[in-house]
Order: sequence, then C-alpha cells, then structure tokens
Amino acid sequence: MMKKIFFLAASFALLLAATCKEDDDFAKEVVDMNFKSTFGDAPLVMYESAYPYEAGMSVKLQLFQFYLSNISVQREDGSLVLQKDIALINFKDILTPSAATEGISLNMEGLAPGHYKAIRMGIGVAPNLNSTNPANYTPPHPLDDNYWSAATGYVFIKIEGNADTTGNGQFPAKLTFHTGANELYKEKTFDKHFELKKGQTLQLKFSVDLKKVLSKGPGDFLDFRQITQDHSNNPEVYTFIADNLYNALVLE
Amino acid sequence: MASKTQQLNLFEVCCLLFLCLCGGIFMVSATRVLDDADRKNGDVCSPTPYTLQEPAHFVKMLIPADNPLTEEGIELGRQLFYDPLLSMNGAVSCASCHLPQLGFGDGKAFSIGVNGQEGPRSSLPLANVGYYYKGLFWDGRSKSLEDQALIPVREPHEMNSDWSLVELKLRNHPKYPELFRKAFSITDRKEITRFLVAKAIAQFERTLISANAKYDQVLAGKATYTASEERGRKIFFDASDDLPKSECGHCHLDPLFTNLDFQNNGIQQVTSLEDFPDKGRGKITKIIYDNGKFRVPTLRNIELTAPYMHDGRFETLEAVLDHYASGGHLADNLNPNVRQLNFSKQDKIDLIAFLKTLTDTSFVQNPAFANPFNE
Repeated sequence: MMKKIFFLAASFALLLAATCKEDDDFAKEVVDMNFKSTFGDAPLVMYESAYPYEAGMSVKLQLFQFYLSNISVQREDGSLVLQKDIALINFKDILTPSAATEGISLNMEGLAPGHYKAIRMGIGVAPNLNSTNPANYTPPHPLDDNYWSAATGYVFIKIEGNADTTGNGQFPAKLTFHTGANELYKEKTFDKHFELKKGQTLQLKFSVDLKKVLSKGPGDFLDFRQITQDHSNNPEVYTFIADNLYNALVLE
Repeated sequence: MASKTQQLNLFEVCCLLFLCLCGGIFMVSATRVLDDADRKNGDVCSPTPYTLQEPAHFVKMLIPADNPLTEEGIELGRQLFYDPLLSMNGAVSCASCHLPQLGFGDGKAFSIGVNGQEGPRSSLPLANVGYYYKGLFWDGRSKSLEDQALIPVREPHEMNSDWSLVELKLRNHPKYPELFRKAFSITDRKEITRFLVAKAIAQFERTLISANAKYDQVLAGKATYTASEERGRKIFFDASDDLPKSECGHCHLDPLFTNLDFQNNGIQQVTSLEDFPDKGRGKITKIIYDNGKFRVPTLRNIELTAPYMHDGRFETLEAVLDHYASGGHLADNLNPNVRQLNFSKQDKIDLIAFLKTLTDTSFVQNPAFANPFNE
C-alpha cells in the first residue's frame, strides 16, 4: 500500500515539475514601452481639457501623434538590437484622465534576457521608409495613412486643436500643424541601464510634454494669434516643432 | 437478478443505437437525393480562385481568410446584389440604392426602401469599398463587408425582410442552390444561410475597384491635365505656395480620396454636442466627441454621386465648396482642418475641374459590375 502511495505521489510531483518547466519555457520577455503625454503638468486629454498656454491663451487638443522609427535596444557591448522599424504614437483616443494616466503601450517581444544600457529611436519616419508609400503596406499598418502625396513623404508629427487667443473662453482659432521632411528625422538615444530577466515584462516609461513642443518659454513660442497652421511650409515653424519634440520626449 | 437487468439494459441501448444509426443513414440518403437533384452529372464542386487585380498605387486590400475571392462567389454575389428577392416585397435590391451609372450611389438625399419608405441618410457610393477597413456605413457600425451585407435586409426602411424568409426563398429557388454549391461547395441546400449570402455579396463588392479615372491615367503617364485641372489639383493638395489652399487632402487622402475616418465637417449648427439631430459615429461609439461625425466619403466619381453629405444637403459641388470656404459651424469636435478659405471664382472652377478627373467611366460601365438580369 505504501509503495502505491509513494508511486502515485512521485508521479504527481513529476507531472507538476514537467508542467512548471513548460510554463517557464513559454513565458516570453516583454519590454513594454509606455508613452504618456502631458500639457505642462496636466495629463493630456483630447477635446475636454483646456490648457493654459503662453500670453494668456488657452488651447484644446484633438490630435497629437508622431512616428518613431528604428526602435532599438542597446546591449552593454554597444551593439543595437532592432525591435520595431516603425510605430505611430497617437494620443487621439485619449479622452479621459485615466486613459492619459494609462498611456499608450508599445510592446516589444523577443528581446533576449540580459543587461542593456540604452534605447535608441528615430523621431519621425526614417528616410528609407519615408521613400515608401501606403501602396507598400497592407492595413492596418502604421504607414498605411498620413502620407502626403504632394510632398512624397509622410507627415511625421500632427498636432491639431483649437485656441482661445483672447481669453474669453471661446476657442475659434483652428490649429493644424503637420510636420514632415527627411531633414527633420533625428535619432535619439535614451540612456537607461536595465536587466531583462527571463520571463519578465519590463516597463519603460516615456513621456512627452506637448506644451514644450509648442513653446520653449514665454518669449519663444508658437503664437496662435499670428500663426495657426503649418504644413511644412515654413522652415522656422516646422523645425521649431521637430526640434522641440526631440527634446520633449524623455525616458523617466 | 440485478445482473440480468443490466444485461437487458445493455441490449436495449444497443438496439437504440442501431435504430439511431439507421435513422441517420436514412436522413443522409434523403439529403443526398435532394443534393443530387441540384447537381449536374457529378459536377465536382471546386470554386475557382480569383486573383484581384489591385491598382499598384493603392494600399493593399484586406481580404478575410475565411472568404477568399472565387469566380463563382463573385458571380453569385453579383446576382444577389441585383436580386430584389432579398426584400420583403421583391421590389428592392442592393442595386436600388447603389446604381453603377451613379457611381454606385442613388442620386437621392435619402435612400428609398420598400413601399417608398425614406431612410435617414443618403446612399454611400461603393467605389473601392473593399478597402474600407475602418468600418462601413456613414457611422462605421459594421466592421466588415460581410457584417454590413447582413443589415439592409432587415432594416425597415431598406428591404424590411426577414433573413429566415430570405434563406427559405433561396433554398427553394430554381437557380440559387446550384450557384451556392459552386461558390461555397455546399452539399445541401439547407446550408444556404444569410452568412453565405453576405460572403458572396462581399466578394462581389471587393471587385468594385475604381482606379482608371483621368487622375489615375495622369499618374500612370497616360494622360495630362488641362491647365485648369492642374491648377485645381495644386489647390486640392495645397501643393503650391502661390495658390490658395483648400485643405481637402487632409481627409480626402489620395489615391482612395478618403482617409476612411469619421469627422465633423461643420455642416450642422448645434449649441452642444448633444444636439446633433443625427449623432452619426457617436451613436455607435457612445463617445460624445464622436457625435456629428460621419465617414469621410470618397471623392472618386464625385461628379456622379450628388447630392452630397450624409443627408444630401448640397446638390452641387459648388455648394460643397462654398460650405468649406465658410469654415463650417464651430463645435468642440469640428475638424480644425475645416477653416475659412478664400476661393476666387476661378479657384472653384479649377478645383471642380480637378474633381471631375476622378470620374471613372470604365468603372461605372464595367460589364462585370452590371445587372446580370439585363444580360
């Protein structure tokens, strides 16, 4: 009888061990790149929230999106592991403060466990991809939209909304800033030492302050009393936006 | 005694199983007799795969894996598309509101269904509808063409029928069981369901590609614009700093001339977002900021698809341009790209000249898309 009990217990333990091993094998390492946007200190919520801007103006947003290219992770030895060639970070569906807090997740799977020292990505559409067009893709794909045929390239950054330029609580000024051109594409390295353990989901928190994209400070901002749109026509405006986004995107 | 009862029960169970088996064989045989009546001399049913000729300058079409295009499926879909059998009184077909000669629209502000019932919106043209992956209808309520095709049959202001009745009519029809068998390899007319009807219509609709307008021919180097068309093109795409900007291309993205999105383009004056008489996309998503938003329609064949907007409020392209030049009615969700424009009379003439280069006569006259009952 004891032998039978022992045999049954041993079989059960073996089965359990085998199952656990299987689970370990199936657990994948995930790097969750989480993007949140703010306007100043406040979470960026589309439509509803009015945000104080420069010179007594206020703004409401309907769209804020930008492309990221060649998202790579840098190993300790300096070599880069490409994770995604293109991604569209789009805050247009962020309609509540809780959604803003949750942010937008971009999951990268297949990265080997180990030590890493940085994330590297291009802000905008990399030239090799910017020379393609939606006909090269099957939707849904980040590059199946936002193509401006007249400029034979993609719109890297879109900011749309309304401004109250007089402080009367009305928002009649329509803002549309669409920015894109090969010369605006810039790669940025975010230094961050981290260890990705076997089976781990690791979150990297990125944030971008839209106010900093539109304004460098009280004396240096897009003045919506003077300008409400640019579709990569005015180099002063579109380089201002692209440079600011480069600086405003940070890894916490 | 107990053992004897068990044996008896086992015997009874065996008998029962045997009877069931016999019944099953009988039923299957009866079905086969029915099917044999539909078949033609042992004709092997194997639908012929159809390779869609997609325009090189278009985004790739998403075709669901469970509804690949076949020659027989497309032909069945065409028959069903034009067949008023789908409606309650046998008077209305899909083609009643989607006429080829009108760019697969119907030329009415509000579409007319059975017994002259008026619908709440105008009919959407179907050119390139196979590329619409962000939802169908003006409000995007259907995710796929297969889902969409199920709706008009039971809508009171469209076909006002009942799918069970339609299925019955098709199963007992002298022609359709054979067409369904060829298209979907069914073995029993009872397998004709609303879902196969929807699949066939969706297959036909995916072939409705309009990509041979003058615009496309110019792209391919086979034609050239007139001076007026070229000036209109530049205004349309904001392609010249020396010309006024129209902002059209933000939403009417080429080559489909729609970004497939849903927008409030400012045609309706409201005091709050709750006040839109037709909430459009908002009725589906329940998001207040989607109220008053409607699909950005394609501009392909726009010359043929008047009146314009979801409620057909503008009868001419001139009236549409006048609306956009006004900047639209302000609302919290008005698309900011709809802004006041300064068009001269010549600007409007040129813009319309360009818009007319989107008319694709080879599409509207394509015999493959025509009513098979007229052949």
